[in-house]
Amino acid sequence: MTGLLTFLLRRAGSAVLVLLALSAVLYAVFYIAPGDPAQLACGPKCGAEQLAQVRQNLALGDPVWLQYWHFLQGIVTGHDYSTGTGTEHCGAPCLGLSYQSGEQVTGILGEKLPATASLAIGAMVLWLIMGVGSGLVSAVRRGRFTERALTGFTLVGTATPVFITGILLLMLFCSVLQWLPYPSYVPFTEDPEQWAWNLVLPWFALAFLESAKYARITRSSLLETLAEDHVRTFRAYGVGERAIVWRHALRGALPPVIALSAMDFGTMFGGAVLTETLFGIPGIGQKLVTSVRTEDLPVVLGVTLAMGCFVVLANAVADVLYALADRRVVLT
Amino acid sequence: MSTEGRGQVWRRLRAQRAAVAGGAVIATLVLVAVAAPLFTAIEGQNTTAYHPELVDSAAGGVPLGSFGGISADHWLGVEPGTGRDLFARLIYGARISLGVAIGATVVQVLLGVVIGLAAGLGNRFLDELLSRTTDVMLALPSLVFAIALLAVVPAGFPRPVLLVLVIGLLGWGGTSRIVRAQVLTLKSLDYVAAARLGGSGTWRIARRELLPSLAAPVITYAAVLLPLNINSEAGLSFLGIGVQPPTPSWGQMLSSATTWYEADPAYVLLPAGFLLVTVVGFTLLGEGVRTALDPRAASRLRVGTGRKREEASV
Amino acid sequence: MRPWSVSSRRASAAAAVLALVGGAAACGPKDSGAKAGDTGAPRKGGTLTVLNQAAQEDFDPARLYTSGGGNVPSLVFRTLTTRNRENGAAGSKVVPDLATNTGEPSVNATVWTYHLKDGLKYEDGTTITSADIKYGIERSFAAELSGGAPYLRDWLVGGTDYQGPYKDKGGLDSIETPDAKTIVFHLNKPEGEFPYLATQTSFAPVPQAKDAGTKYENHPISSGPYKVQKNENDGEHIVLVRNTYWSAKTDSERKAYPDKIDVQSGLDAAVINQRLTTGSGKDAAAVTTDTNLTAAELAKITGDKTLASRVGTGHFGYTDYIAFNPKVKPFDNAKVREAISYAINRTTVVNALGGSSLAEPATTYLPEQASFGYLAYDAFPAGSTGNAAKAKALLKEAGYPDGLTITLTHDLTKNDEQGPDVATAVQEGLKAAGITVKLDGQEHSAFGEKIHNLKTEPGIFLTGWGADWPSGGPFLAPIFDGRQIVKDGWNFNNAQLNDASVNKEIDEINKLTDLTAAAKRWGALDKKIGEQALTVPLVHPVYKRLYGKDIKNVVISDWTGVLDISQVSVK
Repeated sequence: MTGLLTFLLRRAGSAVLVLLALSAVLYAVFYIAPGDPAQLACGPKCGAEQLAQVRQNLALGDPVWLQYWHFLQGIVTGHDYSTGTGTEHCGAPCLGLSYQSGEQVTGILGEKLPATASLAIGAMVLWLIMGVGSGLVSAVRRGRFTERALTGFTLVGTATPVFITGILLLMLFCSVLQWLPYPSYVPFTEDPEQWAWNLVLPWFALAFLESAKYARITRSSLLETLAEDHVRTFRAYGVGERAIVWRHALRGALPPVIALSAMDFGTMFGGAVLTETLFGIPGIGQKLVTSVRTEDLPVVLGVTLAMGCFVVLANAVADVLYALADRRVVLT
Repeated sequence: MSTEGRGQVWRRLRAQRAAVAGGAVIATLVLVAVAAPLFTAIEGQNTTAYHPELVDSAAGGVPLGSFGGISADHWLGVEPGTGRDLFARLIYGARISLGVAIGATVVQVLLGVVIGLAAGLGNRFLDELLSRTTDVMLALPSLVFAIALLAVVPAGFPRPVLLVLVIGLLGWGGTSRIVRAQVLTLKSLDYVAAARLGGSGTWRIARRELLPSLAAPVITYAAVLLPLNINSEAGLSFLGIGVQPPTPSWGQMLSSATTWYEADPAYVLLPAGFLLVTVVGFTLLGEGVRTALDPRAASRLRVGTGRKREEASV
Repeated sequence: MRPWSVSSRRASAAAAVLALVGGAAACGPKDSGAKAGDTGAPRKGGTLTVLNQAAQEDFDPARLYTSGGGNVPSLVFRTLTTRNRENGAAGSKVVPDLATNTGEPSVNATVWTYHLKDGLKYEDGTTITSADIKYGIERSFAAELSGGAPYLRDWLVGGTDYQGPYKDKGGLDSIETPDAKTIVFHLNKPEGEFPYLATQTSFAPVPQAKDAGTKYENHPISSGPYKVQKNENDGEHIVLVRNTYWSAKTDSERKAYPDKIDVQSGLDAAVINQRLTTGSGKDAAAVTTDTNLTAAELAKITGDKTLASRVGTGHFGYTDYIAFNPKVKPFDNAKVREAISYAINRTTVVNALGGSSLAEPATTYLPEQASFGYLAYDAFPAGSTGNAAKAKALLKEAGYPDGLTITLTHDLTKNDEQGPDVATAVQEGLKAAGITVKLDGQEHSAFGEKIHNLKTEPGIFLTGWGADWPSGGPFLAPIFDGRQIVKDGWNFNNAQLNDASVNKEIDEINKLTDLTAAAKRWGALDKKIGEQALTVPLVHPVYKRLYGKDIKNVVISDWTGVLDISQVSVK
């Protein structure tokens, strides 16, 4: 247990370092980039005095290292902002206020995460089913037509960029067959049924992309396990093929699948920007792109750090799961 | 690898029909891309001339005629709105897609090998530093940096070169991880230890003993990176920050085409088809190369090393 | 936020359905291009759904920058005057809203007096007073509440130094409220068009006791026929319900037929058009206020008569044009500018913007509407595809017999009126005249900053201009008045024109309170400036928008070019 604990602590430590480095790099990039976020926040017809006031309000007049320092402070202690008639408290961890809308970044993240989460979770379930399923079938029916067909199918899915798969799916299901309306995100809390229907196409688009990896891993690990000695013994004893596959071989195949899933989930949670853009899903990936374009640094920082967190967390979880499942692997 | 080994690899590669097919497709595409001016001269069109008389302006600019306006003059039809020749734009687009992808892969491999070697061979501190940097590179949303960087660089800088650099600089993480892992394994092997005892300097060891063994995993990974980079360029162009008009690019054509998929499906299907065929071709070739270099690879688990950078493609 | 251009439009084609397919249960029945509803008289009741791309951000009268009060904002925020809600040109007039008339000017139009109507109440029953209007304007000066129209800072006496009521407890002396129903404005110089300005949302009353600074937008106090029931995610989803204290007797402009208005934003343009086409469930009573049909969608709709009957066509006073910076060579040479004006191929530009149904070629800077004082002229006749011969001759005279190489700056946003499609069309068109055009594309925000900053302004670039109200004044003055050149901040006088006779003429016209007479003179001024080839007008966009099949009483004025929500009914 202490091994696990030290591992987690060390991972947490390096995660913090990674995130600090990320935020510092972002501040540096935005500092160098041309453009004036105060002007963008104030609007085009902003006069010089008003612009100066807005700049002061957003603390953009401060030297960049001071802005960064305040940002770090805010994460630990929170910050108070003036609303004009009073003050607004931004509780720790405070990631600042958006230059464009004045909303708290943590609030924006909270609003946008459910959409991205819906996309990521649904896609993951689907690609697990599709990937493991097709890997299973192609391992069991080795050398037959089904295996070739499945391999080919998953290969094409992985090779195609997600926006092409998306467009083709849209063409097929909304235009030619007319089985589905053009998807428009509906929050789960509002209408679970519509939520699911509108996410079906993006889920499939992402699942096609990811499932080949899992198919390959499932297939190869199943093949390896099925060739092992103890399985041969079971066969000799007359245990049915199906029981062998389901009860013994699959158990061996699952750990790497789960580990890889955790990692992919983290990346996907990091914002599937192209998918969100194509299907109009108001998630954090889309918000990130808009914020970069409007030079809204607090939002870019907040979203990037959140993404970074997810990726690091997912990596750690993946390593833990893999180690737990396969005792030969040692956590370092 | 010895020449004997190399011959074996070739034979194994040629034996896989899918890989050969993929290779043939890629070869054809490269040929067409390189000879693009010749082909467009034969057709008698170019990529920029507008033909407003070939589209129905009052109806939104949809091409006149069937299948997007295919005719003897315009082998694959014309673009809606502008009337530009699609065949010419598609084969010139191949130049961008292939060029940027290959260039970016080269950059990624070079950087990855150098950094991986340094991390693997260097002392503890260097290794920690480089590994943490690799973590940061892998964790950051490359799209954000791509957008930000592309906005920062002045307009005069040639865009395709810029794309190669941006995609290359943001994607070396995976390669360096693999190289580092491989170097760490090899470091402890006898023949390397022998070279060290013999007094060879670190870089000499790297060149003579390690690089040859690195060739196989690196080439395998590069074969995987190529289609990913094609997708990255297409994705960036799709978002509007890739090569600029009037230079045609498949990703850019697709981003305009999403509007037209009902009124003029040819406009979507053609660049989508080209992109698909290219990426599948590269992937099949890559699979074949992988199997040829390591016949046992197909049944070995590949988790734990080589975590690919796929963010830009989702 | 994109202040001056419509958000990028990515769209799929509307499904012109001919065959019925058994659809999944959740999708609802498929209609065969549902046609416009029965033509009975409009009635009260029902829920109107508004499907938009852009959110109603910063729903605070101090921060909203609208034209004529805006569409959704004008349902909640009544102003001193407002736009006339009628079809076509009649809709370009100013009419009284909270005030009894469009304003009483002093002899030299530097003092404007307004009297409020009787019986005006907020959503909580309290009476609207002139002090509330004064306070509403004062808080628009606060730095925390940035946004909104900037005119009053220049127009009001003491406006440039005033910092808003949170910092400056004294208030603005130039706004007087001698009694609860009278308000007087003291201006720096004559402004005959003050009634037009008074349609701006900043002229909406805000009770000081209920002001919550930056938080006011979460629950603004309504003076209009509807009040805000719910505002989620900074305007992404706003639900409006009736304000029971609003009386139609005090408001002849707004019909307020629906009981409830549900404004949903953040939707993709393609989704919006698709939902309006299919019209299932609530979408049958839906409209959009910011999503045009794109070229591809138009291509599909053109063949379907029933669907085509549900398309509203609107004209908004807007011009897309090429701007020159005469301080950058070779554009300091008038002959070069004239050559480009002759060479331009407007047909390819029209096609780049979606074809002849969505864009009309423009040869004048002012839009083609009488309220602007439109005077038809074509200073450098290029024909529909450009006059390459004349252009080449002019270039030779200018000293460029072998042609010219220039760099055109444009926006990178796809489908944008200043975007890559238009830039490429211009590039190709000018080729015939021997002018090689290199393209410099910039990210949207970077583009805006580059072209509007005097220090970085390129020699030639794409831009557009729409007026804050349909008169020649706000169209010409910010662009061609030498005193409006802004050195720090965004400058719109791209040509950096500072011609004393032009400045004087602008001042003279501003003294006129007879808006028809003023319009004529604006038109003449446009023609005079046009002869200097400081801009190359390209197109005036046309808006085509779908509306749901149950929607009745569609009114599209020339002021906004969009259907007016205050007029539609769903029953």
